[in-house]
Amino acid sequence: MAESKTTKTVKAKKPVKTAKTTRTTTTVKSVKPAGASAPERTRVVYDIDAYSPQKIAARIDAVTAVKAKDSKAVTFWLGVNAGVFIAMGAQFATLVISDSGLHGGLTAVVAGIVFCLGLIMVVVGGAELFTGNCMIFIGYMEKKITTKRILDHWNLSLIGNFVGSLIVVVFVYKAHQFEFYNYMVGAKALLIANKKVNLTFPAAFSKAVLCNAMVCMAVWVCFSARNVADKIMTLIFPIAGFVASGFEHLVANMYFIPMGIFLKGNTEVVAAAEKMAGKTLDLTNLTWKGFFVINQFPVFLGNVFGGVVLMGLAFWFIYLRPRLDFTFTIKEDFNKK
Amino acid sequence: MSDKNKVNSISSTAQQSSTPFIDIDAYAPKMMANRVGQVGISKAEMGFLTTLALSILAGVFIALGAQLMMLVTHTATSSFGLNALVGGVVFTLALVLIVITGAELFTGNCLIAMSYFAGKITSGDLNRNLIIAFIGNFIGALSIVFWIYYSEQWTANNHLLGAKIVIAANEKVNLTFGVAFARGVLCNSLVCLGIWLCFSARNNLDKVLSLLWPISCLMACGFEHCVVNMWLIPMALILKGNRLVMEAVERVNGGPLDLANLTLFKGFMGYNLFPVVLGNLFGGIILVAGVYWFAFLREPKK
Repeated sequence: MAESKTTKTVKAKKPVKTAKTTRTTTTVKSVKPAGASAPERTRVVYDIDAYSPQKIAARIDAVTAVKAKDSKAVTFWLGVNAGVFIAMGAQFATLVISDSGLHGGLTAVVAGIVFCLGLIMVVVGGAELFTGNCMIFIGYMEKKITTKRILDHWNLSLIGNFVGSLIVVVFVYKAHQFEFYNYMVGAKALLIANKKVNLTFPAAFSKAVLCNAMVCMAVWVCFSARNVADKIMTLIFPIAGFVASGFEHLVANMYFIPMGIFLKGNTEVVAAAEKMAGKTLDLTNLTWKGFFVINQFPVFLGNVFGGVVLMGLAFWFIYLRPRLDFTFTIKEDFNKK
Repeated sequence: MSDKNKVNSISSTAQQSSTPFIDIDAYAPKMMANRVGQVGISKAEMGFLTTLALSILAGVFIALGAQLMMLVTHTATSSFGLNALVGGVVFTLALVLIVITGAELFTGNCLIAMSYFAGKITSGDLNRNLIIAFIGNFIGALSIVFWIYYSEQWTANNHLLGAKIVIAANEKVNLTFGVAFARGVLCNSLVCLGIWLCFSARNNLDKVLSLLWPISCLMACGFEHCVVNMWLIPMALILKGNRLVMEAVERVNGGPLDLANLTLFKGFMGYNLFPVVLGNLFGGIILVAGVYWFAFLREPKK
């Protein structure tokens, strides 16, 4: 159909072109023989621009369809990968800011930039991150994935993320990284974890909403990218932004808080943390119960709300909702009479 | 909706139908896995001398990166974490050179185990490549030990640089087996992930940016990379004999440092290199190559 259209346009244009050439024969004649005066110039347009938002939505649809075909084992292992990547970014951020002499805000920005490690590896290397996967809700609304499969997908990636994070917690603990700089690294990790399990429900929920809105925004802009450099540069700003602002990311907390629970038993680390905080610490909430009830539950709800409703549903509504074709024919109807 | 409208929007319709399509997007993970498989085949077919020469180059590049990292961080007295970050960022030099020039790095080559898992090369091919790369990396790193020693770069800042090298190496030879193994695993997972990300890249900017985070992470976090240790610890073994360097060590340490473990065979080979190589192999072959082979290259059983 499209080809017929193009031929039509060529036909329509031809007489115009010949008219032009006859008008300018005097100048053209000397250069070109008359037969070749109107060569068929096909203008080749290579589309290498960044994808427009409409195309981003279409690409997310396509990716959802691909993900729906993955076997469950693959989804789970890619979920483990994502957990490992985010935990790597989290431990990197902890180490870099552990004994920072910069003031608080700048330190937070540095932590955010190094934390991008995790998301870069997820986006470029391929992994199933639960928070980022909230965006495939767009594909669900377009019926590219069944309800059962999307729930399975989220469950499997969530469990995989948790397993992956715990693997890194065990390895980083066994690597005795907390001993660095006179136990400052361990102390910082403990303080971060303790802060996260002492949040009120509304604070944790709203921080989580903001967090996943920014993570899904990062995923959204990454789908606009053509190459890896594009992806990384577009990621840095939203991801560094949410980390520096101290928002609550479900999967990052799966590293931070278990690490704190591991470190709680180490007297040197607790002593260093109390020295760093300048007061005695109340670590009663830093338990597995505190992890799941005080932190993970509200953060899970907030992340899902921020990712699925505020980002997924909103972008679906803007770009992909079925267009209702209202044509107002009142004037014509009156004219008929 | 007349034809005229469609003619006006010719550019968009043409893009969908008749425009020649060139794929310039970053490679998707599935294609990255295929490309790694192909690279494995070409590495298996490479001749002995070519592989050896390229792996000597890789050893040289890593040693250059490591000495730069030592130079950048040796005068730090506070904010060690931020200094380590800067050290890691400059160390990325090594991997950038290796990836762009195609040198054979022992740790990075663990990724081509994907090719073996997929049945494209034999285990003999993989072992041959890794063993040649290991030997070549060692030779390359030792050659930089030679040049750096005679350049007297380690006398910088009143021998502080030499002192930093000795102290860093001494920490590395006093690790228990479990700690060295865990650090080796974390290190090579990150190296192989960095190289894995490079397989998605189209141009050099992509490659540099995708290497920057993983590689700076592994160096900043003090994980154990066996090829770096092949430069750092032999360098410290030589500098240990220098009186002025040892005085600087005492100044930095605030007292005499126990260097009993800083020996060639027991300390370097036994306490450091052996567990670190095992950890590197486990992290690279099982945790990265194995998982990505499972996800993207495995033939589903029928």
